[in-house]
Amino acid sequence: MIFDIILALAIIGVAIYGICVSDNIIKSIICFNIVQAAIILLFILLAGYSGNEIPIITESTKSMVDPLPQALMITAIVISASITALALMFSVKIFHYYGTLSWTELGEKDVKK
Amino acid sequence: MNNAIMISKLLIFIPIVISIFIYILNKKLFNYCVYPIQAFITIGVVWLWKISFEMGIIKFTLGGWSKQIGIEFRIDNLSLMFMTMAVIIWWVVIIYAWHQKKSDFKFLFFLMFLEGCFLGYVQVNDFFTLFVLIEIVTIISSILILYKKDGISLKAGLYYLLFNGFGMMIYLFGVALLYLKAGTLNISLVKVFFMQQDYMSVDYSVIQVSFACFFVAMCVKSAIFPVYDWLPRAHTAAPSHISALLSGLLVKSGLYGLIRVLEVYQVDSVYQLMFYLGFLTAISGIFFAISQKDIKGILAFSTISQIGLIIMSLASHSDIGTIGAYMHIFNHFLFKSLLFLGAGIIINEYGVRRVSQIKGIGRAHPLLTICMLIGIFSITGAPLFVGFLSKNMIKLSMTSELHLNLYRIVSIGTMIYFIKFSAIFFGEPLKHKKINKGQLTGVVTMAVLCVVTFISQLDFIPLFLSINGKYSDSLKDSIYYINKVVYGNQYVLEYLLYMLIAWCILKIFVKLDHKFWYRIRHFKMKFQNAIVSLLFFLFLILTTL
Repeated sequence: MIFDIILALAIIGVAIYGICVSDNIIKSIICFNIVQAAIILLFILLAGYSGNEIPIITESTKSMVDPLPQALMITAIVISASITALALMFSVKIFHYYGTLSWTELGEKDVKK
Repeated sequence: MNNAIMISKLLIFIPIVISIFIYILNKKLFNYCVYPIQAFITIGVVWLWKISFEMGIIKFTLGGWSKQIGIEFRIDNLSLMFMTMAVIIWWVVIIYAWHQKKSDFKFLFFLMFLEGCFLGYVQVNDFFTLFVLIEIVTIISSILILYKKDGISLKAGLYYLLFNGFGMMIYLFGVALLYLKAGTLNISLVKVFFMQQDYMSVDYSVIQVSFACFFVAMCVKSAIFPVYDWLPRAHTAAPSHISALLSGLLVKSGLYGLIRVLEVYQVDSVYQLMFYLGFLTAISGIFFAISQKDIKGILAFSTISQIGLIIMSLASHSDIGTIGAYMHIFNHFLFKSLLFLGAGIIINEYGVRRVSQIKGIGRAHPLLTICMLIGIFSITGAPLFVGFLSKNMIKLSMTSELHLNLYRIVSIGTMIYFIKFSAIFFGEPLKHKKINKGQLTGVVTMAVLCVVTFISQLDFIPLFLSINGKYSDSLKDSIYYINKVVYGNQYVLEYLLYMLIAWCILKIFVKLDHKFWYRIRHFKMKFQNAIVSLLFFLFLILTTL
């Protein structure tokens, strides 16, 4: 149990490190998406220890997993997908306009204007 | 009660459903149905006020599920205040932008969809649904920011979307930890859970981490000191009516969440830090606003400084401070949207945004000037204008002499950049174009509302009071005190003295071509650095708890 949680936290850490060091917008968006996925994973993991069967009620079900976090996380996945899609669309438009996808170069162009 | 349930559901559904029809049908005539929707929403909100006067807080759960797992709605006076603000600003934005946008079905689709989501956001009583709705608000407002599709607004929109999205990811992390400990996400039930627990006996560290996550995420949404860099970019790049919407209302969605989170967790150790965060926010907003040459830049940074003032007031954690903060949220909404809409008209006419290149508005457009002067006097807290009472309540809430002096610095700072801003009214007019009637109507409506709110604000105080449900004796005393001094002479003298100091500072110290001001003007955080400062901020909050 501890190992799983540490793994999820480690993925979050790696992705945040990626956001902090990468200069490319696409890489930032990818790292952002990984953070979201890892947090969703963590949520499901934390709730997954409440039982050991899938949450479908049958006659033999004794200790099923708490189904609420899974239902919530589907919504969170939809949101993360839509943010990623929108951000990618914006970056395409930015590339058409400026011809670059580097945060640094975009900042410099801003100052000149 | 059944009426209330029906209305509050319809307030969310009607704008969203009709906006989808607007998008699908794509008929010019059908676009006019935003007016009936607005009328319906207005009637609905008024009706909800009436029901809540009679029956108190309105609560119900969707779909007949239990509170533990269902989506609960809870409409108290704070929600109703935000709903009223939403109704006003959407009316004004639609009227203001109608002559340009009446055949633009995409714009109207996003605008009405946003209204439905915002009205949902202030009603739900559940941490996860709060997260979903605030994310939808972020997504749609980022689309509205880059509606012009030029380079700067594209960059601002992307920055806004990613940074706020990252902040809300931290929020989701907090939700996971909270669910682990409390077993529910309903705000009322979580509050009850915390009251039953003995703070020392249980393993409290996980809950503290979740509080830090919520706090930081809401600070990102409301642009507190180290994490405010998205706000000036977004608010200057957006079209003026969208800036008014963002600056007047959507920034406060973060403050609304912050108030809710603080109410639930009741962590006392954070308030000391919060005051200084508020002060730093205010003072940095002031420095940036003074250094700006762009007319909308001044207004955007002024929003940051006023948010800082509201945070300072909330941090006093007393009744009068909280109520002062609520009133200042409402008042700031009125005069900041007024100023942004007025600035939009001026930019439209002159085609430039530099303060030094705009002259003679006073001679060319007297009505517009009067309206904008009402806004400026209000935001600086002049007696007989709308910001006066709330600013005085904030002043009364300052506990020590040091806090009072810090408040005075912020107050004088606000005057400095608005004296600079008011230079656009003087001089010979350069151009004279006729203003569109719809735009002028929007500005005049906001100005009239400013005046009306000032006149009736003393009657409003009991309404604001009932937000917390407390009406203590000390508060009664201070309200009598305010009642007495509203028309007092010494306040006029104090205001004039501050004005004089501000004018002297502006003339002596502020040389915009100097290297210092140049550097401040061109200071911009890179996205990676902003994320690092966000993580640092999270760490800071964790260590103070």
